[in-house]
Amino acid sequence: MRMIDAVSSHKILSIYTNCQKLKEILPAEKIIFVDDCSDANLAILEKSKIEKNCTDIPIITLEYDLLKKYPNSIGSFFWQKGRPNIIFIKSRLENQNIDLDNAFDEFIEENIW
Amino acid sequence: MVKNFHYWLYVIGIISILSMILYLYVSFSIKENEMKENVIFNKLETILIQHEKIENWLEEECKENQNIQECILMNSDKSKMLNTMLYMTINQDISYSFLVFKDENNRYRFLADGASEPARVMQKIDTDDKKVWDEAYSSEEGTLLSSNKQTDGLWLTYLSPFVENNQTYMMLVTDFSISLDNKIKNTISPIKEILLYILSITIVIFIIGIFQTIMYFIARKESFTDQLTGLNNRNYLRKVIDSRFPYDKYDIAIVDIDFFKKINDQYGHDIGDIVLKDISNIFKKIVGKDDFIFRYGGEEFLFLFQRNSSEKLLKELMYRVREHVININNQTIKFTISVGVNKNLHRCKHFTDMVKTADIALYNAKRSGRNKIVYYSEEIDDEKQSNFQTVQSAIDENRVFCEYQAIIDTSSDCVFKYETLVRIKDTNGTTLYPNSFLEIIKDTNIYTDLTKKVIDISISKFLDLNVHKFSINLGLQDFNNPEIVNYVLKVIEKYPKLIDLMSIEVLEYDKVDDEISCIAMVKLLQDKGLKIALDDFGSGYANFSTILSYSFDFIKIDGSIIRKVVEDDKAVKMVQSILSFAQAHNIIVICEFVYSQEVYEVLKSIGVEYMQGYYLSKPSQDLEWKLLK
Repeated sequence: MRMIDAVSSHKILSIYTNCQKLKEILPAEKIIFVDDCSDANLAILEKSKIEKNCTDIPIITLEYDLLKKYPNSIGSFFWQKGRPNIIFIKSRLENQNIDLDNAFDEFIEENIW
Repeated sequence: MVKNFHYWLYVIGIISILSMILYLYVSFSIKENEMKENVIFNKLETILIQHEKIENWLEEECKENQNIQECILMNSDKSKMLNTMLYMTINQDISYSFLVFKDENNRYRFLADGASEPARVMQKIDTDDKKVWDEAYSSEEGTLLSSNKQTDGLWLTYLSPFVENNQTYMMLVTDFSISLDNKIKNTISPIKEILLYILSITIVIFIIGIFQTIMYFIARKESFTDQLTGLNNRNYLRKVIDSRFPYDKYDIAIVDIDFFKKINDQYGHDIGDIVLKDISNIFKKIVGKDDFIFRYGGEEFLFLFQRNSSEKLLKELMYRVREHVININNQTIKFTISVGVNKNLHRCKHFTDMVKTADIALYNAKRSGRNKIVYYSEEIDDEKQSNFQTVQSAIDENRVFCEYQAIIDTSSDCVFKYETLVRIKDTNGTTLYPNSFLEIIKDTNIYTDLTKKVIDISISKFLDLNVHKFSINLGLQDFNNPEIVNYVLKVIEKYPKLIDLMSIEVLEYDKVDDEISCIAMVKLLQDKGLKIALDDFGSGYANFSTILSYSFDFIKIDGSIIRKVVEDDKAVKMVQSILSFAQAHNIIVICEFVYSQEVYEVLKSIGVEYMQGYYLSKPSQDLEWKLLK
């Protein structure tokens, strides 16, 4: 949730996600889940199926490899070797004018490998 | 059966102990931590081998490169090769195995990954334990860290740095679980449970067994203990006197409380019990730990004293009893004991002989005034002992028999009844008469046994015929012997016909000790319907005074009077006066010792109806009576 807060300035977030589980986890009082990416101001995506309507909003992926597939993805949260990993891509944050708190500096990467 | 039970108890006890040992061994020896350590040790061994393989491989592959990181990063084939090598180590326990290095920003990045879908080379990896990772990275030793990420096991991470020139260039990270531990636990758990069940069952059985054993020993103790005095009883005596008993080291003594019946009669049985308890307590205090004391009969005690101390202890015993005073209702009771001792047990073949000899000595102590210790002397009592053995063996070997002498009703010349007369055949076939053995065995258990035997023989002779009446002879003292009185009561209860057929002739050997109870017993038997005759009237204690005390149905005038009736008129007058006294009291008079026609005629002339003697009939084993006159 901290990660979502960090990337959004909206008081109430409208999020599009194709991850059903996420809808159960995230707090409903601050988030409105929308069914169409065009209605959302943030997308959180998993799996490799490309969501075509999500080209204009920042995306957080739930898999590292999706960073390459979504040019407008700004970061990723995923499990790596049983450990939670967070990555933000510096250039993409800048492109989307997203300014992260310093606490997230350690997660900001120059490159996608 | 009891012995077997004990063996089973031992077996169950051993099973319990073995189960317990096994259970404790499984529970504690195969400790969880030790198992974990063993599993971890095996894993680490695998990891270290892997580490060495990679190191050797890199040494060979990157020997031309200054920087091994660059060697890997610059050559994707090498990276793929490393992936393969790491992949080989992955199994169900080793989840992840990957190589990382730390970049200039202190971030860990992948160099190689053994996963089937490996992470990308240079990709960053975050870790919760960054501090530990950093420490591991900067050290030369491997570091094991654990986390409880698995609920059913333990997830461990082993950080194994690759160091060259004191500088770590990468680190092998291996995540593994010790789920195998659970498998071992799962295997051991049923064994532990089975052992626990066995242990529980055997412990329960063992406890029940112990309880049963305790109950058995309590019951055994009770069966061996006289409830009143707390002394050992005859059951225990039978247990002690087996062939292993060291008779050569012991003396036997039989102790009898003098005039105990009087104490019972005068003060009541409760006081009698107190006396028995008090005396028993005195005995208990005196006997040594290797001596034995038994309550042998009512007021009889049997001692087995160790030979070297027996005389001193017996004197002490006499002294203590004499000095002991019981206060009952402001009355003091003092009493004495008579003791018969045999110091030559080794000369007796059987324990019964030992008791008999001590019994003889006790008898002599009583006869000679009581309140004394008499030692059995073999020389003096040799003949007595021989007679004892003769009678005892005759009883044991069925050499006791009876002859029957008819008492004639002279008014009809028919048999009025038969008198049963005991005889014994010795081992040579010679017939022994009561005058040769009866006096000797009197006051002994043999006498009681013989009396019972005579009763049995007479009953078997007359009961089925159901025609003739018969009489058996008892001493007046026998009415003070509960065993004999009870036996008579028992047979008349068993064979009610005996009440009409059988009568008892009372021979008054001596003045009885306890006349009150004697009179009561005679009356008891008369109340049951038995007829009682006084034998030998006119001699010894059998006189008018006795008739006053008892209500006899018959009196039998002694032969010493009858034999004189022919020549002595006083004898005739004496018989006449007895006859008139008897008629006045409805007592039937029998005259014995009718040995001649003259005697018969005289007696007949003065009105004697019932006569017995050789002139009329001789004693015979059969009942084919023939009038001889």
